[in-house]
Amino acid sequence: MKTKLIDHIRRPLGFVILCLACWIGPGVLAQENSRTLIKAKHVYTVDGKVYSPGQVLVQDGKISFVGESIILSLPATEVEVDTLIPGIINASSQAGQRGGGSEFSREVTPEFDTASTIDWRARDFAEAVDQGVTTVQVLPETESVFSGFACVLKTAGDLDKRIVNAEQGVVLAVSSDPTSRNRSRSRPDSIYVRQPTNRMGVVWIIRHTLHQTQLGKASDALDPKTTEILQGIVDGSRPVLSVSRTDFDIRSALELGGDYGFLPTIYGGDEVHRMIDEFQQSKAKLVYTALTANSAGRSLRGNEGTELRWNVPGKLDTLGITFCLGGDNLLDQAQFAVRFGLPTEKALAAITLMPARILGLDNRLGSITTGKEADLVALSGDPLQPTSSIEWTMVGGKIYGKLESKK
Amino acid sequence: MKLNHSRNVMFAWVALCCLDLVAALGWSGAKPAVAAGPLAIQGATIITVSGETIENGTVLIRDGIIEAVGTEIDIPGEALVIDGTGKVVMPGFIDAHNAAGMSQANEQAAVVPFLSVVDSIDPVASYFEECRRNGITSAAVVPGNSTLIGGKAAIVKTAGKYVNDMIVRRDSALKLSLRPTSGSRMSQMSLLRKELDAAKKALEAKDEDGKASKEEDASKKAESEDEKKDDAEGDESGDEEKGEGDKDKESADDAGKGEDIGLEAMKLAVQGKMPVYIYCEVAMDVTAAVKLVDDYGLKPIYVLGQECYQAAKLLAKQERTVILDPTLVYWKTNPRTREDEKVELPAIYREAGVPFVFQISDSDRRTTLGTSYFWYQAATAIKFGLTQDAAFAALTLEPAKLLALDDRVGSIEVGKEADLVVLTGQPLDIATWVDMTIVGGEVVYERDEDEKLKRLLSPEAE
Amino acid sequence: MSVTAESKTLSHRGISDWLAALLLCAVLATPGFGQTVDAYFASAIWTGDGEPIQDGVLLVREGVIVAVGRQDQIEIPPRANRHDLGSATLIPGLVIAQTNIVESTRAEDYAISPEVRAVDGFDPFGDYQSLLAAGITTVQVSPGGNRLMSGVGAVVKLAGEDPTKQILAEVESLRITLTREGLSPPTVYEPPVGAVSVERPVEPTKPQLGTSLAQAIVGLEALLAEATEADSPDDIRLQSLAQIIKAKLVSRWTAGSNAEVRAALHLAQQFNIPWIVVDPLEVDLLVAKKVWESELARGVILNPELRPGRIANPIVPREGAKVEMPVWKRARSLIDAGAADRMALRASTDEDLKTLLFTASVLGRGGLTPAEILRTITSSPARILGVANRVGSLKPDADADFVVLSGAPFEPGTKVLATFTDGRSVFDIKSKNESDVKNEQATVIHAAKIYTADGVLETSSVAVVGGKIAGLGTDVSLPQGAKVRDFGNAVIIPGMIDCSTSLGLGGSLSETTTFSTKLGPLLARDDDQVALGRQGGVTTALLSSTRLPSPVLAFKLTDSPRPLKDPVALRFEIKGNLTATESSLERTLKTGKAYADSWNKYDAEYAEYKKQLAKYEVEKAQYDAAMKAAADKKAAEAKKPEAEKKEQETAKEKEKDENEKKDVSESDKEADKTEPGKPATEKASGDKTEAAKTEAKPDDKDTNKPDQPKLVEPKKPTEPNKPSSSSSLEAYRDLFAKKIVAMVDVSDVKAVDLAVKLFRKDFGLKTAIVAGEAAARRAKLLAENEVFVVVGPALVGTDDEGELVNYAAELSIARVPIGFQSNASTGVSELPAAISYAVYEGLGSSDALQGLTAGTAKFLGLESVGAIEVGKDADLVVLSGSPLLLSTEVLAVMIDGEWVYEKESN
Repeated sequence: MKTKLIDHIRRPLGFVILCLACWIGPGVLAQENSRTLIKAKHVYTVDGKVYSPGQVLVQDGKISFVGESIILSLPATEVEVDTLIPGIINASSQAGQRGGGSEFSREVTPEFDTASTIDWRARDFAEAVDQGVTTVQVLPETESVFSGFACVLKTAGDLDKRIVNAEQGVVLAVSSDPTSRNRSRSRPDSIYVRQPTNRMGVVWIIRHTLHQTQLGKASDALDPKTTEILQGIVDGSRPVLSVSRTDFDIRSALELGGDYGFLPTIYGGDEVHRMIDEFQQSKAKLVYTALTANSAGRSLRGNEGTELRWNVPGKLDTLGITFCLGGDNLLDQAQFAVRFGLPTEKALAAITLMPARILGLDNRLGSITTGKEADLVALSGDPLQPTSSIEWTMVGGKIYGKLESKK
Repeated sequence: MKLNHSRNVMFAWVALCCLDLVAALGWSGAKPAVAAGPLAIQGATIITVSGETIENGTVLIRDGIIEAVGTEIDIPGEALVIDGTGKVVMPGFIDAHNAAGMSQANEQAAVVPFLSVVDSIDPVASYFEECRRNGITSAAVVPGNSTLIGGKAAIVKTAGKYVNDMIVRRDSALKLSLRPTSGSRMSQMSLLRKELDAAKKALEAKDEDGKASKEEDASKKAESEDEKKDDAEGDESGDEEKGEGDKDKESADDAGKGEDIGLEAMKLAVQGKMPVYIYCEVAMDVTAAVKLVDDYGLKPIYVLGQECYQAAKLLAKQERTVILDPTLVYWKTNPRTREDEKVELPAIYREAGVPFVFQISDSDRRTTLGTSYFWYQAATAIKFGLTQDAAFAALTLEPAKLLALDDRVGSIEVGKEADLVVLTGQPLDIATWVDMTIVGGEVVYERDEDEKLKRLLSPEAE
Repeated sequence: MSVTAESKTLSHRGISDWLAALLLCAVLATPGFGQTVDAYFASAIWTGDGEPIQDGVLLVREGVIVAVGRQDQIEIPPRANRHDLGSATLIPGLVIAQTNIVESTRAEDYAISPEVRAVDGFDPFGDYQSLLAAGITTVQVSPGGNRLMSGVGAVVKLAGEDPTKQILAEVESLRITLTREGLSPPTVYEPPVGAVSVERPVEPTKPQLGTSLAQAIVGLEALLAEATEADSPDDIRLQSLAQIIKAKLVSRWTAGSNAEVRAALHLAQQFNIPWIVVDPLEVDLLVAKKVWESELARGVILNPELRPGRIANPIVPREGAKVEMPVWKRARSLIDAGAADRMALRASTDEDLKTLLFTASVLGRGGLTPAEILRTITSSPARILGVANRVGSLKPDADADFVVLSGAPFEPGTKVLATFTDGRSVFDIKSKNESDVKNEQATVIHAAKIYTADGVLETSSVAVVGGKIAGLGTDVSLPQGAKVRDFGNAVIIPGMIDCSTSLGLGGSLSETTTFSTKLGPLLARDDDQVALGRQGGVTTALLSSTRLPSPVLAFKLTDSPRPLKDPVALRFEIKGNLTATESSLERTLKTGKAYADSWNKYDAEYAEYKKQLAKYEVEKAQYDAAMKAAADKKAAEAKKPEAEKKEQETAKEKEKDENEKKDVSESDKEADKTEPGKPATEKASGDKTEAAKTEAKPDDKDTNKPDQPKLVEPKKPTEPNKPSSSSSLEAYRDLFAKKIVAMVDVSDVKAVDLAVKLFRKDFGLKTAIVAGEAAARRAKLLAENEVFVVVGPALVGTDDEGELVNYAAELSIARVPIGFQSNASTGVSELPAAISYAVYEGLGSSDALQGLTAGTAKFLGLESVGAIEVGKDADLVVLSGSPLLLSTEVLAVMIDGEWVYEKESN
């Protein structure tokens, strides 16, 4: 009779998916059995093959088989889905940053450790998983010229395994972002009384700092760690990520690279189409985030309005430039890229294998290939149609989200 | 253009070219050219929405009205033929609620029922261009969500050189917004109730005076206007303007008689003669709105903010089609339990049994992708369980019904106005574009002629 | 509880019952007959008016109360669903006479804004769980408090199916604030608005009336007067004020000092409007004669001026200044003045609403009874708010808004278990803490001493939930609805373990058994011997056949004996000709060991095999894929030169040389699936095909490369074959895995040595020998080899010199772990007494207790018993005094949380 009381309890509203449910629940389920066999009507491996139908065997968080069929002699949880694609990788994310994404007191903070600003329980990650994103590169905010380290993270899984690489590369803001707060005239004690107050200032600071570093007499203001990192930039041992949107920003970034011996990867690239041949020659890689810009050409990050073009991805592809899509709603971005003229298989690669390649992680991630990590996304249909929805996302062999499991 | 003897594709193509030409010349020029003869779209898949989908069918248009739809239709010799092979024809989409068609959507003062968007509609606003580009043929331009009593909305076609060419129904509805902009919800509601009471009182007063006919006239005027438009559809806007002209004169007279023209809209509203858009920001506004509707006998069109889903049950009881927030899916964190929740509006309202239509994100928040497009909204709804037919209806016939335009537009039926959109492929397919938009039998948009689109899709620096 | 109710209805069957039934029909014939009735049985029901009903029942249909009363007086409809709330108490949902729970408490610009309605600011979708959890179901919401006339309040429920139905009174009372906060109006400016200004002239910036009480009163008087005169004024404020006065709406005056109260009453009387006085600090006028006889006197709302968790500093009264009356005194005097049913208590602030059930009890200082206090937060406020017909008291036809308390209201430890509105549960503590999944019967036992795993606890308690020990400590926290047993200065020790008995089978077992025999299933239920045996405090007993060797079973002495470990040991014996026994025993053990080892080996191999298999199936699949790819390529090449017609042939050929290949079935099947001569990739649809084609080729190659040289089918690993299993030997696997113990009965010293050599040294088993004197003599040897000794029944003997030898003591001194056996059936109850002699003769009582409980349990691997420790089985023995004294008697015995024995007089 006591149970009668319980019966009265208002049930949680069915339509609201409590994340608790979709985070722990199925995750645990997949955990119990470390072997999962996924039978799909279509498997887009993105490493060149499309199996329809196809099967993927996941064992201990790795993909141990991909093909049309496999005869199991040991039990495994079987999951049936319509379409399977590799986990989506967002190379330009701000996920989970807490307590400020950049240091305001100085302009040269390459040592800024983005990984330590991450709130691992942040909703951003739940959303990312829900959108099929399994790996993100989190960039610091571009308030400082040398903004800090970009770090690569998994969007789900055991906390100790979430960091893929804490020091992926150093982020330079070759754009007007760092000038936003600075003033030349203000209360004298304000920390914002300093250069740069305009774009020229930004470039100058980079030039100056790197020059000093080259001469081996970096100012004493910088602590050894900082100098070491700067040294790493000039001797090319540390990858450089340059956040640049307008064409002249991109040019400056490439020039600076030429002068100080590094080849920056460009993040943003809203106006790359204005200098696309130049860019092609530079052999630089591009993480294109402009598809998320609004009609005024304002990127979600950064404030300058840029001239918009829709089919830049298509153009980049035809010129054989190494690029990927970055920013939010990546699946949407890929779909629209197709709409605007990018070939479908390239669009899929542009959110999976290409970002992995640009992050130098394509040996572990980015495609459904034997031996790679089991980061997968199951969809209800063609991944590049707006009407197909994501059924679940698998990160490191664990399934998050809806799940029909039999056996 | 009489040289079109047969369904010879070649000639059709020539015809098209001419069309393009005139289209390029501009709207007013195009009119006589096309209005001269009937127009036929041939060999296309026709999604009528109201009835069965017709494969390889033909739509015949004369004088801006759909004359025939079907497979076995003989096309008069003089007809201008558009080859629709491999294409899909749908009724033009209808935007039931937007403030983008006007400049400065919100008035500072809280109570301005006497304002009319007609005075603010900008025919060359980029919004209308976007509408034609995306197959929207009719749109209700409504004051913004930040004014308590924002003024009078108007329904327009999305093509026209002058506002009056476009107007389908002037003063189509009154706009209320329950979002608190000045003071608390309590004081806002008291103010709103006061204004409504005032309107009621004014009515009673007049009834006593024995000349209660005033509002009927007003409403008749509204209707008669519609009729006028019905037959005036398509020909030039001269007498239209005249019509509007004497209306203005009349209302001026009213003012002279000391009648309160400021209150007119309110009166019609409390009589249930003029529909009322009620914007609800959060769920509690819905309860308030429902109460208002009951107390004052309003004829509501609910415009819902994201959080209103909590009142889905209550809305289901109202049995009215609602207008959803442009953001159909979003995440929130429960303030008490700190749990992250994903809210899927289409699923919620579908399960609660509330019929709905969509909005697109307003112009300043337009993005390259996503909620800026009706087809995208429909696709999202399908993701969350809406059937394809229902989704198509939600773009066309449903909003038409909501705006009481379903006798004129919203589906491809004989006798309805020829507001059509020709698609390059299956609607809701990512690679499908609007190939041609037809308003009142006139081609108002062609992809081949869309210089802006071409520029957007060809990244080479100019 | 429900059961009793059941029996009652059954008890008086007969004509009377039929009549009752008829009556019942009459009752149910009202609309909504057939709708299910819910019957809530509680040990007490406080209706909100008057004294509580003991053993009450509450009948609810369709969210409305049908009946409430004593269980023996109310007829329960046959089809009612019964909810037995056990020892819980029911009270009405709390009603709060004034709160500010509105969407925005920000004050209006105008000092006078009677048109503002709080109901417009109430969010029915708000999150009120914390309030419902505090038992609050109905509240008055009022507009902001710091304006002279801030608007009209409303009465709302905090939960409900239909948000529109949550509003009980849309327009409840006009709020007027005469205290300081009300007297600081801002200056307002109404900007001229376009066309609006035609209708309404611009009002310039103007100070508003009432910055002093006197001024405010004058202003209000004028305003009210104007409102009463004007029939339909234009000004909206006057308008709504006029309506309010016409409607004789209640006026709610926040008035502290006598002056303010006087002003309030004066104005109310003058304009003949009912009044409520809020937060009076001085009640002289309110307790005056005849005040409460006037029909205008709606009520008075007191502020407890008490905020849990905060301490305010009282002001030191100035010389001669009269000391303010504390709230409870005010309450008292108001009751005496006849306002008992019109005096409500509110919370100081909205945050304090949660604690109102606690703060209200402050009125107890004024000598109010709990019933009187409860009334100030239930029925009285309901009456003041004019919603008494629906909420505030549990009576027929009222809304079924009630709260389930774990005990009497205002008692420490009483919690809100559940809250209902309109018969629906809107809060349930169970849903709040999922931790206690099912609410098992909990017991809490107090005693003077508790012998726990780590030391003795003085005057403390054990909490038992679901047969396990849930809590332990000097003041263990009470589980929901726990039954409390206080044994005063008794002593609690863990249930004891008897290492050898003949209990449990209804008689001793003397048949020969094999080690495979499971004794557990043989245990007899409700065995009188067990019932008697456990009275001594032994709760766990070991059982074996008297004819050795035999398996040993450990079980609980419950009514249906529960096997703990079966077997817990294998029992051997060494007697007679030692050499003979030695060889035979050695043989048996050897075979046993061999058997065990073979299986261990197999387990290892099998694990390896599984690993291999996993590897194999992947290789196999890749191999098949490769074969097919190769076949397809061949076919494709073959196809090129010849014309389309010959395709069939090529197909045949292909199939032929497929068959030639030594690989079997699999790849063939695969080939048949795909039409011959088509590359697999062509299956991929749409524009992906090109991609697949173009990129597939190179890919195919390099996937083949590894396979190309060795196109050999991977070998399927062979499964290791199981060693022959023999049930009789199974037990040895555990024995040699040291999961179970070897118990050896030995007769004399030599036997002891042999046992140690054979079982402990040679085979390294966990060994216990059963011996008395002999063991005592070899104490040193046993200690060295960590051999356990089971002593008893005889514990004390005499040696050759006739010296007294205390075996147990000797062994303990040598640090040999010991356990005790009775070898008896019902005599098990005497074991402690027997041991008490050994204790008397010098065996340390703690050593003895170890041997009877923890020590033995540990050695035998009975983790769940032997100690009083959170998480272990609740096997407890309550003693009148210190354990193992002859003078001490057993008061009660609990096994698995059930009392299995209690001394009569208890």
